[in-house]
Amino acid sequence: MDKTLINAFRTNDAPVLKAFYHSSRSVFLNFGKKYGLDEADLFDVFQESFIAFRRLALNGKLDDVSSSAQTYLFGIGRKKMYDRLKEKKRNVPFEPNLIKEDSEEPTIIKDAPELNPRQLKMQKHFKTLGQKCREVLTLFYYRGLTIEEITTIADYSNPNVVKAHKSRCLKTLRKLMMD
Amino acid sequence: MDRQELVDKYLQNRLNEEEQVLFDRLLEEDEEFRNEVQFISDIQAVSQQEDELNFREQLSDFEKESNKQSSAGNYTKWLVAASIVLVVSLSYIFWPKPQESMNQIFVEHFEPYRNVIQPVVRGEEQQKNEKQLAFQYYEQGKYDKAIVLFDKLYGTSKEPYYLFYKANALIQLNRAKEAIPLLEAHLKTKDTLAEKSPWYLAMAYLKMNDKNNTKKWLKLVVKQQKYKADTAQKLLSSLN
Repeated sequence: MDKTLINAFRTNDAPVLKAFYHSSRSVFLNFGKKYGLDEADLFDVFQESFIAFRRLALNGKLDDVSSSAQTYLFGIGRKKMYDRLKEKKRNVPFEPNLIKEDSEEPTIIKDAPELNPRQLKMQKHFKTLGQKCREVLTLFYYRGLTIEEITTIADYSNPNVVKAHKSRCLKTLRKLMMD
Repeated sequence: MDRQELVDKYLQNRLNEEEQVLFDRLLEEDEEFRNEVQFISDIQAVSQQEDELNFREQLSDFEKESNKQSSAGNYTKWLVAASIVLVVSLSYIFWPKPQESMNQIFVEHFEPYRNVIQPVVRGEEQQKNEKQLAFQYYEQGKYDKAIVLFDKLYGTSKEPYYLFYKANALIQLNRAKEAIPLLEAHLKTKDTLAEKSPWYLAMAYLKMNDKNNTKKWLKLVVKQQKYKADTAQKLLSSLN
């Protein structure tokens, strides 16, 4: 798949993401109309699919996928649409377009994991950290950026400053968790 | 290599064979190391939540921009801007604290939509027609009486706004579940109040503690950028 797009999710390159969002959005909403979901459902399905797509991109799950980004995004959307129709207990007719089995499409689309009590406690402390701390920890641990990439994206003078800052943030968080 | 670096590399799937052996050994033998791995994994989970929340807000901004582009050039946008400033300042003042339950959020945000259909005038009740009476009851908070009349009036006139006002009254009477089909039906009509229905659908689901559907309708409110869009966006962030 297009490496520029995957990378845009990692680095949060807004113009690239916005272009992808808008070009997929109108096609998806049009495509979905014929399946009898209302506008709010369709829009919700689209946004949730977009976020699920981002999650996969950030976890490296799309690196070896050969289909185009939009095809893959719609694959997720179709599954979510199918689930939504089932949830509403409508008769879901056999619809080849909706449940097309494509070996490249994900069979299970995971939601963001629920936090356990220990993580909820951490979340409370995490929110009290400064914005820069939250940023460096998120970019490194969730988005998987390297120290060098963080230096550029988050405007640090050099990689050593990032490393030192990250360590200080970890130390603060660890201390908060122990108190 | 220090332990921190080893854990970092593990989480980023960058351990070489030798480092993997070391990692596995430490994980098995060293409790402190196990705690460290758990601590960092927790940061990963917590920062994912934070990151996705920010990203959702970014998507709302994308939506706003696309709406702006389609309606640019209209002087009413100044009016909209002014009302957004008002809504934002009011929501800033009244914004709920994070621990508030869905019911508290509901109480702070729901208010039956004002009567814009029938001006209520003082006078003898006998002289009033049913429409005047219905809206008088509605304004006076006699929702149960208003509902009966709205029902009857809708039956004869088929005016879609009766669905909307009946739904508002039902939500106020803790009968949100019954309000939903009415609002859904109202939304499909060409009534001028229909653009407000998504907000009240969100309110109905909020009252029923149904977080997923509340969020679903709030997202549509944000997407439409009409009634209560900014409040909806703030509410979405607090529900995530």
